[in-house]
Amino acid sequence: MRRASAFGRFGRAIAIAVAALVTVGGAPLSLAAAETETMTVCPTCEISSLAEAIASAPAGARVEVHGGVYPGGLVIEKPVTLVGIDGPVIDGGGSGTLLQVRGAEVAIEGFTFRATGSNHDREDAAIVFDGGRAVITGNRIEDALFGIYLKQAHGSIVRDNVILAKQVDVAMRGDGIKVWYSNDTLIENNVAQDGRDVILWYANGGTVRGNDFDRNRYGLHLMFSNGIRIEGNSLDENSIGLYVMYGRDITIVGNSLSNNHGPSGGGLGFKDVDNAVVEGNRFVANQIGAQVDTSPVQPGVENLWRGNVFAFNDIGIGLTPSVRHNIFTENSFIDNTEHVSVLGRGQLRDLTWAVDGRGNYWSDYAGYDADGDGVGDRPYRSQRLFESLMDERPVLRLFQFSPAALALDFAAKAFPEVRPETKFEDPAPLMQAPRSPYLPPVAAAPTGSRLALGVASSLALIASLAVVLRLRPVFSTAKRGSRPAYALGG
Amino acid sequence: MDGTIVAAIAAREARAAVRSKWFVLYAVLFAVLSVGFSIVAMGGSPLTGEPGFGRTSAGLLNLMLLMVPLIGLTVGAQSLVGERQDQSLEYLLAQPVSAAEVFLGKYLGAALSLVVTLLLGFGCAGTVLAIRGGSAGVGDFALLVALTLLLGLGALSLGYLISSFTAQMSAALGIAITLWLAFVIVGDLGLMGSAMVMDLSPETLLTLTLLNPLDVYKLLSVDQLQASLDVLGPAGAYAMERFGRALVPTLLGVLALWVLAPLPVGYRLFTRTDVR
Repeated sequence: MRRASAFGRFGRAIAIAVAALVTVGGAPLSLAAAETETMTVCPTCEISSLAEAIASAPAGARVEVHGGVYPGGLVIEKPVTLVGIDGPVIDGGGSGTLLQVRGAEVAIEGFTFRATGSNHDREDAAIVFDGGRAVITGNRIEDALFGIYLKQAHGSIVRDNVILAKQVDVAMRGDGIKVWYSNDTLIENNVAQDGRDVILWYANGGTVRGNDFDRNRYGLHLMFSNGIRIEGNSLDENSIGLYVMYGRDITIVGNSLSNNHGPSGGGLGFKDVDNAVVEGNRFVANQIGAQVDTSPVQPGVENLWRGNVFAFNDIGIGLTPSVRHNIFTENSFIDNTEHVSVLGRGQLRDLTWAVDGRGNYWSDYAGYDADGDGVGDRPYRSQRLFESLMDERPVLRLFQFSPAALALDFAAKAFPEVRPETKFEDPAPLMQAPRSPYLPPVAAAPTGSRLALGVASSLALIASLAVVLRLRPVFSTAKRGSRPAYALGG
Repeated sequence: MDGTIVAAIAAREARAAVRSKWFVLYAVLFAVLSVGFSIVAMGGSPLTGEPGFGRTSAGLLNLMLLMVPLIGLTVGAQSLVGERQDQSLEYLLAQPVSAAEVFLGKYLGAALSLVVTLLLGFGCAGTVLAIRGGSAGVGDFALLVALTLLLGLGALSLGYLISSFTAQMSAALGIAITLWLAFVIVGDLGLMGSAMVMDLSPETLLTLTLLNPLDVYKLLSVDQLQASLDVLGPAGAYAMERFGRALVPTLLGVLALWVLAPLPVGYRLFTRTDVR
């Protein structure tokens, strides 16, 4: 399979690039720290002001900051390493940017940043890099309009940070992490919650891996960014989990996107995306698992969807009628209210639903597999009357789950005259849901109220049984079906 | 009105209802149904992790929508008319009891038998769920039970209303089944057709659907199981936008109205038919 090898090469290239980045980026900093001067800052030390320490530190110095609260508004214009020990806090008191770096390679580690301003014109942030290169690890950022803002800071690393947005009206929130014209950044194992987006603008190359972006507007948002690898992230309860707009060579592997709802919300959104590989992701209980608009755009380019799980979404995949040249193979569509929806009027065309005789798994496939090769002997046809009515007139969605909708579908099955056109056809539906090796591990279902549920239910059961036995003794001598005698009070 | 007399009549009615073959049929059917529902809808799976509200659970919700109103309507419809037909109602009313006591007592008795039918089913379902280790919250589950009870009682009240003026059991059951068909299929199909032909706005469509207690129940249970009405398209979004936090209380109010409103009307018809 040509696609597979292309994907493999691409993956290896990324892995090598990341490895190179980490060694080249990490080593000189630690070496520098060992060789150069170390300064210590604490409220009772000789140097108690962090701003003063930064001003007086020589280039390449390591500044160790001990517990205490330090004011914001810091500016760094030379390479230094800031290390927080015992949880020092940099507090902006609700105004301005807390720490700004201009054109220098700066490492920031182990701080708590708190209370930025809330001015969108100045884009008040906890940490801003104007050029230079950032290594930001293990910090906690609270009450921030923008969390970490990297402008033209190529090859930066943002790792193990927790970013909690300022609790203002949704329209007034800023981005947890904003990357602007910065290539080859690594964003890894961060948590960003309750903000606007984690967003990459005009970024080429780079990896976003193992992060938890929850309850934001867009969990992760790419604008005009190419060659990004998005891997093993958990994007839950956002309006849209992951939105890719105007990009190419995007790899999305092993992410978990669940419970993303909102006005035109959903798990994954594609708008004008070329040469994307979406593999081994889990889309659960989203409004739309993945919505695809005009992707790919370029002729001769294909997008590949392989080994993903789409389960319990209102719509598994929504495709605008303009979408062509997408390949779907070995995906599982489980119990989505509607597996595949056409978003708008038109027909699905030029989509590939099986590769090398392997299609997708459909939980409502009613065919059989007589030759036992794991592939259904009859194609899976999406041809439900009520679904096609809903696609055409969304207002009819109100009647979903009603017996009337069921009756319509039944009528369409029984009478070919009213049968809608086939929406799409998977020529080789799989009998078992395939398990892609990239699928993220499943979080254990909470069992908290199991005991309470068991007790309550058995009580209800026992009580109702008691009532029945009292009213209808098993060994009753009364003639069956006869009405009891009229003994009021008896 | 004497409470002990009402209780006595209720107990008598419940005893009669529970001893009928209908009760066994309904109880067994409903128990099988709800066990299936909870296992599929709230069990989760190793591939997907969390349980979800999907097509299968929707199908079973569908079965609830078919079963519960049918049970409620037929149990209610048989209540007064059966005794009227074998003339024991006349005998009962000749006793030193008031018409109101008979009317209320018989309703409460029928309600008790209905509640027991439904609780038997839900009790089985919840127990199975707890043993299998589903992740259903006890709160969610209780809410679904309460909603279904409310729907059942609404259907019961309507059936009782039918029972209060019909002379023949067959007529009462006929009307009940017709009503059931209207609520379950015909009403929604008609609305769907009108929505397509006349391009009804989500607002109009939602208002019209709220007239059907089954749709109200469906909105409520989808809202509870899904935590959102997004899945119901523009009309669902409109419902959330229009009612906001008042959505659940409003819908509950509408359902409660279906339980209570038929009773005074039924009582009036009952006194006109049987008390001269």
